[in-house]
Amino acid sequence: MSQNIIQKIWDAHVVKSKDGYPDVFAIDLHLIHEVTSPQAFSALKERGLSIHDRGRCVATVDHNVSTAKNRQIITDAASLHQINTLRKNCEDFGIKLFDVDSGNQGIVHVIGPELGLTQPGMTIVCGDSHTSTHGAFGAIGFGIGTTEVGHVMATGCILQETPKTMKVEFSGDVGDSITAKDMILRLIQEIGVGGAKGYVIEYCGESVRTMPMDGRMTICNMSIECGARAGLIAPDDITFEYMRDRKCVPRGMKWREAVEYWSSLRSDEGCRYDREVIIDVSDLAPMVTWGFNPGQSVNIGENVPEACDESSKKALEYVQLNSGDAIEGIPVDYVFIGSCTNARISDLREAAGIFKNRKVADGVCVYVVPGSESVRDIAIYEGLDRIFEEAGAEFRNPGCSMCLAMNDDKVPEGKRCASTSNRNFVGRQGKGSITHLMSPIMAAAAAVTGKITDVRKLRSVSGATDKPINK
Amino acid sequence: MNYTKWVIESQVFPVNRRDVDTDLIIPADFLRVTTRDGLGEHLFERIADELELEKYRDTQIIVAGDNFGCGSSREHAPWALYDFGIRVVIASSFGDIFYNNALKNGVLPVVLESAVVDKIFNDLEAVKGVDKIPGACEKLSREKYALKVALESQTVVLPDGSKYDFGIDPFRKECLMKGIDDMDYLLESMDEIKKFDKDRVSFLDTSRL
Repeated sequence: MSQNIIQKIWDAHVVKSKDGYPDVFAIDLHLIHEVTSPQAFSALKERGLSIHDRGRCVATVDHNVSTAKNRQIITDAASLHQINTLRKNCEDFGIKLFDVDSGNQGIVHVIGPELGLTQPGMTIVCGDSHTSTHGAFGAIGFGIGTTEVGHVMATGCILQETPKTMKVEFSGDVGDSITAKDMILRLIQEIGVGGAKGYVIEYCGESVRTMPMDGRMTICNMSIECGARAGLIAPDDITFEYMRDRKCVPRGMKWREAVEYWSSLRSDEGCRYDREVIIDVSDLAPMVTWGFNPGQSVNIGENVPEACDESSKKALEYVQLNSGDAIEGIPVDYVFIGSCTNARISDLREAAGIFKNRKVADGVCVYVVPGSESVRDIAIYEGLDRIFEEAGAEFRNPGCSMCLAMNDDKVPEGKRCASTSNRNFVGRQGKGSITHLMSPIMAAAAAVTGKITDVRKLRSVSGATDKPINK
Repeated sequence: MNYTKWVIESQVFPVNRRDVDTDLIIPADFLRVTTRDGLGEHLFERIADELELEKYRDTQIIVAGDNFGCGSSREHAPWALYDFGIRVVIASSFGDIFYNNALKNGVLPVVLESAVVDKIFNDLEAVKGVDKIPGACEKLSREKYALKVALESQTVVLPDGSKYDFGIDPFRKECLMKGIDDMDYLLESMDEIKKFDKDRVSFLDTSRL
């Protein structure tokens, strides 16, 4: 029987299936960070259990590390304790930890792909809902709670029910300045923040097939924002080209064998999905969220919509906007370019293209936070750091930073932020903070104009000089 | 934790808001902990005033809008709910990860049709009005508006006697009632897991890290 890629990967990981019980489901890669792991390690200690397969566990510190220049100094005692707890646990249990200044520290979903840990056909979990990012490689990646983090550590498995499958086809070719971020925001706007609950999504369509890996990761990253368990893109030559020679991928004969296996995972002709959605992206304009969830968005030419329900009314009140306000021109106080959604090197290159020969608008505070030490080092090598700093933006050290306000990087109460992160929830970037989600080039445009701006207008003014900086 | 008496009778803490994300349930500020204790103090901190949270310190049942617990996978959300005293959350749907996490932490997520959830919210609004009428029938006051949730029979009973069934996976139900953890079943499956490991197709080589 023909199967889609989700069903193929899922079936290959069912270890045990027994009536009246959920399936015992095998996990190929377990990524660990400081925030959702301490109680899991404690549970293992209490029960006298060890790590089932250390070769499949990798840890880093990202959520509450400092991104300041001198980031060795962590002043917050709770953060320091949590980070030190991870260090101790990794030592006690023999887990590889990429600590600050190891050369590979970074946001867990950025370093997995960089190191070649993320591979097609895998099942990948982490105590973090944006684990769906890894789906860009044709893997099933999803977030789990801390109890399950403990289960994977001890047994390499968790209990799972088979998910439903959804095909999302982005049809048509995207126009100039339209990014992966705009595509995924458009999908969430269409189906809503709960639209894909219970499903794993396969993203298809010509614009996905020609998209580089960084963009694919942006799309898969935000699968959880429409409620999906996971989202993936079938592996192809673009995937394999990205992976080749990365640290944890096989070499030589074994590489060829791997590529053959990974290629066989693609969805069969005539396979079925439980639901299919088509999103036409040929007329897509840059997307910006106006409310307090990622489904509340408009394109840059539109106005804040009528409040059609209680939720929208509350959202308008929170973000201090009125129905009918133009989204373009709303002044911003902060700009954040970073997060597991948009802190990879191409995101930084594209943003740098906008900052080059321009200045950050008066009164706007701009953070550019690379997703990993590796991204940071490439950016410095390419001179992007100087472009950001000459423009008046702060180029910082890697971490989750201003995405979730559990470190020093916060948007103050009542301040408005143009952000490339994934959630505009109430207080997400700090108590009382107001967030507008958008792509890196749109955020950069907001930084240099001081207000939400259609980046295409900036580009047309100065002609062809705004190409992404790319050496 | 004693899960055997899984009949919860309590007044209702209304969270009449859809898409309540886990950042709202417990903001990231409070995740810098290494234990599960004490998180109830910060439950719904960002919207505590709007929810009039102080009034509901003694309740065990939340009734919430659709898609409760969407967003982040933080298990701190059910830990905070449990620590506050909540044992049941009723909504027309839940975020997938939250639903799973809640069941593992003594918080029962109950899915009822949105019409029933709306009815409860409407009832609560109605009795709110009655509160203000001097001498109104005490039974109708908000303090007396209680729900009864029974896990064994999988039913929710409203004050007017109307009864609604809810579904739950039999394994999850057994775990809640017996107070056992998935880990036991996984450990029982170690033979199958080891066999799977031996036959697994794998191209991951972490030896170069």
